[in-house]
Formats: sequence, C-alpha cells, structure tokens
Amino acid sequence: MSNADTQNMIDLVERQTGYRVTVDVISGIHEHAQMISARPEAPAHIIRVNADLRQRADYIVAVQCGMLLVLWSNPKKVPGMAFEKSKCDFLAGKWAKTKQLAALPAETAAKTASFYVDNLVRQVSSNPLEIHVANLCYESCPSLRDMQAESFTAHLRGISEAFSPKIKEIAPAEVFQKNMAMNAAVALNWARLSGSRMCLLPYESTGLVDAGQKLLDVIDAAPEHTSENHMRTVDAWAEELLLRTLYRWELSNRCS
Amino acid sequence: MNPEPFSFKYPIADFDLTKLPVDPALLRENPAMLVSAVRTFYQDCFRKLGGTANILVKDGVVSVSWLPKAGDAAEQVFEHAVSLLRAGDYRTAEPLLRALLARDANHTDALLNLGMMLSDQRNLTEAAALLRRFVDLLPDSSHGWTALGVAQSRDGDVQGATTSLERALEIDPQNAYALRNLGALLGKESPQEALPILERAARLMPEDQAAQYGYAQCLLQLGRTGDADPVFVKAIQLSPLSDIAELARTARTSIAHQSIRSTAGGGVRPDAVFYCLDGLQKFRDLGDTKTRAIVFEIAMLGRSGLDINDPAKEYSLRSLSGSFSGLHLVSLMYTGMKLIDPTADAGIDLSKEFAEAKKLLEDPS
Repeated sequence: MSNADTQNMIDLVERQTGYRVTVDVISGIHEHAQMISARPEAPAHIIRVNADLRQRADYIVAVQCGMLLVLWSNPKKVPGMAFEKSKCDFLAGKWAKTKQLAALPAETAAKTASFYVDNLVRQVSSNPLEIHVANLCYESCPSLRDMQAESFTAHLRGISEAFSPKIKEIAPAEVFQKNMAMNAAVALNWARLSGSRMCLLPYESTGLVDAGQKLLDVIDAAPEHTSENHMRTVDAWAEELLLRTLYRWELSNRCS
Repeated sequence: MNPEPFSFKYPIADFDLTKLPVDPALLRENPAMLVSAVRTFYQDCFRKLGGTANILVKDGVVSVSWLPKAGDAAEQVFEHAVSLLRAGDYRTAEPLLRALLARDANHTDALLNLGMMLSDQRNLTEAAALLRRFVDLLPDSSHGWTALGVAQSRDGDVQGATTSLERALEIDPQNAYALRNLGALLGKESPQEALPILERAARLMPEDQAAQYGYAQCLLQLGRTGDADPVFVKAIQLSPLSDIAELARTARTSIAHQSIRSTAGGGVRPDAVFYCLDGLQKFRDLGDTKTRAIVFEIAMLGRSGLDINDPAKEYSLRSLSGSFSGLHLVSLMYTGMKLIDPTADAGIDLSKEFAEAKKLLEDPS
C-alpha cells in the first residue's frame, strides 16, 4: 500500500498471523470491504475494498487489518460467533407478537422478527470490535485521520436513519432500544476521538446517550486489543442488552 | 489595531446537509436539531482557529461572525480553507471561499482555489468562469492557466485546453502539471509528439501516478513494451488500489502475454515446460487440497505483480518450501489450475507448455 501507516498495519498482521495479506477491489458490494481470513487450505488473508470507496481504501484496509490483529491475537484460537438457534427462534417468536409486528401477516412478522434477532446478535459482536479498531487506527495511523473522519461521518449518517419515524413505527421498542444503545456507543466514541458532538444530536434528543455510555464504559475499562478481551467485551455488552443466551463462541485453530 | 471580524450570511436552505454525521431527512424533519447541527458545524470549523465565533440562525438565515485573537481574519480564514481543501474537506472549505469572494470579488487566491475545487467536482462551467477571471487578473500565472486548461479539458474543450496549457508552459516550461495534461491531450492523436512531454512530466513528478501511467501508456502506444513495463510497475506501486493502478495492471498482463510468446518466437518456452513438469510432479505427490492452497497463494501473490521476465528475482510461498522465479510460479499456478479444473481461466496462456509437460511426464523417453 502507498500509505505507510496502512502498510505498517499489513506488516503487523503478516507477522502476527503468519499469513500474507492480499488487497483487492471489488464492485457491487454494499459494505466497505469484504474480508476472507486465511486458513491452511487458503493461505492468505484477502481484503476486498468496495470499488466505490477507493478514495478511502487506505483507511478501509487499515480497519480490516485492525480487526485481524484483534481477532487473531492468538492464531490458534480465532473466535467466531455461532447462533444458538432455539434461543434465537424463541426470542423472534416473542417479538413477532409485539404490537409493531403483530399487525403484519404472520409469516412476514416471523421473518422480520428473526431478521431483528440476527442483526442484533451480529451488531453486539461487531460494534465493540468496531470501536476497538477505531481507537487502534486513531492511535496507530495518524496519517489516516481525515479518511477516518470521512468514513465515520458517512457511517454515523447511515445509522442515524434508524431514527426515522417509519423505522421506529415498525420496530419493537426493545429492538429499537438495543440497536440504538449500541449505535450511541459508537457515536460517543467517535465524538470523543473527533472532538465534535454533532453526531450525538439524535441520541441526545431521544435520551439514548446514557445507555450508549454504559456500553462504552465497558470498552474503556478493558481497552486491550486481544481476542480474549474482545469476547469478554461482547459478552458484557450482551449481558447488558439481554442477548447473552443467543450465541456461543467457537474457537478455530488457523495454523497449519 | 483590533482585529476585524470575518462575517458572512446565507439561507439555511443552502446549507449542505449531505455530509454531516446525521441523516439529512432527520434534520429536515426536526428544525431544532437542524439549527443545533449548523451551529455545531461552524463551532467545530472555527474552534481549530481559536478566537471567538458567533453563529446565529434566525428566520431561515445563518449568520456567522468570527473574530480572531489577532491578525487578519480573512487571511486566516483563507489559510484554513486551503488546509481543508488539502484534507479533501470541500464541504467545509466551500462556504469559506465563497465568503471571501463575497467580501472581495478579486481575491485571486480564493478564485484559484474555488475554481480548482469546482473543477474537481465537475462543476465545470462555474470553475472555468472563476479561473478565467483569475488569469485575467494574473495573466502571468502558469498555475492559473494550467487549472483553466484542466477545467476546459474536462469540459471537452480540447482547443481551449491546449491553448491554455501551452500558455502555462510558455510562462513556466517546467510546470509538470501542464506538461502532464498537455501530453495527455496530444497523446490521443499523436503519441510521438506527446512522448517527450510526458517523459518530462514523469521525470519532474516521480511520485505522481497519473504522470507515470500517462508516460507508460504513451510508450506502449509506440510499441516500446520493454520500456513501458517498469513505468507501469512504478505507477501501480504509487497507489495500488486506484483506477489507474487497475489500468496499469491490465496493460502489464497484455505485455506479459506478448512477452511470453515473443521470447519463444511464437513457439514453446522450454523453461515454462520444465516448470509445468515440475508442477505436475509436485501436485501429484501433494494431492488436491495442498494443490489448491498453492494455486491460491500464487494467485494472491500475483495480485501484487510477478515479474516473469527476470529469472534472478525470487519469491517464496508459505504453502510450498523453496524459492521460485516469477515464471516458475506462474507455470505452477497454471498447472495447478488446469489439474483442478481444465476449463479454468488462468489469466495467461501456457497451454502449449502445459501440453508438452504432460507428454514428457507420460512418456519421458
């Protein structure tokens, strides 16, 4: 990579994990990047940056490398999250009966409720990592701070769409509260890094800052960038949000 | 002398909501939050400069007034706007540059910077008008003529662009941006004429990817593939994920195909046959899973560019011990891919060498 900080992150990943990092661009994806982490039968980490976001590629690659550094702090025990299907189905069944979803046809309500459960479980895993990695990149990659600001501005704008009355009307209150508490934690962390509170305006106006701060405090109390700490943080968030029974950790050995 | 405040006003409806960290629709639905967002935006903007900022939003009008601690407010605002432009923050820079021009329509620095910014954003009519005004005020500015030429070129005005860029080079023959852009214009019709211009631009701007690519492409157009390839490599290294890098990779693939066949005089390359044979033997012993891992790793390594023309350059793999030349790895990859899936496209044609190697393995006599 042409940016020295990004190249340094790639070098760190290659040293720590023992696998080469290959960076590519890809069209037609919705997310910022796709990452396929290495395993003995496919011995390279592949980071594919969304072609529409080439301008921020250096930062996007640094973020993906940051995730690898955290999750692969012990390559013999790389954590992955597996859903506890029966518990997820039970919760989805409960939410399908809420007044917001009960008005929909039964099948649509069930699918929508399952979608909410799946997304919250993914979010409880990804947001703490996102915050850890944002802090890691802010500290380790000072030359990427403008790109980081641009990236977070766009991301926070996107997630604040959830305040739209249309979305609030169709989401059960419990789903909205959990989702927004986690979003608020991400916004609070960015407000602190950037020194601007603008991204907090929607959360302040709806009284969600305290819930977000409680989650952010968990990260602040244990800032180490290791997979074990990541799992502990996710578990603490999940306990706080009453989502802990919905998943289990599976550890894989990625060394050949 | 007490510093003068820097003040400007504009309708809140003109405030660009699209790049704030809050959903624009949410702000439009919530007037109090919108006012807070506008105020916070300018507080953040001026906080970096120190001094005192007053932001008032009333009756649909945003009024901003900033009083520096000391010095010329307009000058500091201009410097801040330029630093924002350098960071790519056009949204914050634009109202500051427009405010400077509202106070002084002949503020040449603001004209040039706003003109270039609008040109980058493809707002070409306004960009050309501002840059034309700039060169009217400063007719001996090589940078001004270059910026005007670039805006005209982007707008499809080849004649106007050529004239402006030639004027820039009359004033400063070492203006590398003017050279690069004039070379690109001329290269479409006459690569021979463009080559010395692009060569100079590439020499003057060794870190500029577009200058390196333009020069390499011109060399390629003139059939000088051996000279073009290392310049394409340099262009890729400068920014490996850019559109230009992708174009350079495509050009290099085409050069590699030509090179393999021309080295063999259109026939079979004995070195590649040997490497394919090596692959057939190795993969037979290693089995399918390991073969896939090796092919995968070579393919990934190849994304950074394997030099198949330099046997002295060696590469190593995690999945296979030893060191290998670029051609050796490409031959191993080709062989492995064909063993896994004979219909797969390996991206390079070593079919003759592979067929020859298979014959040798089946009938070594």
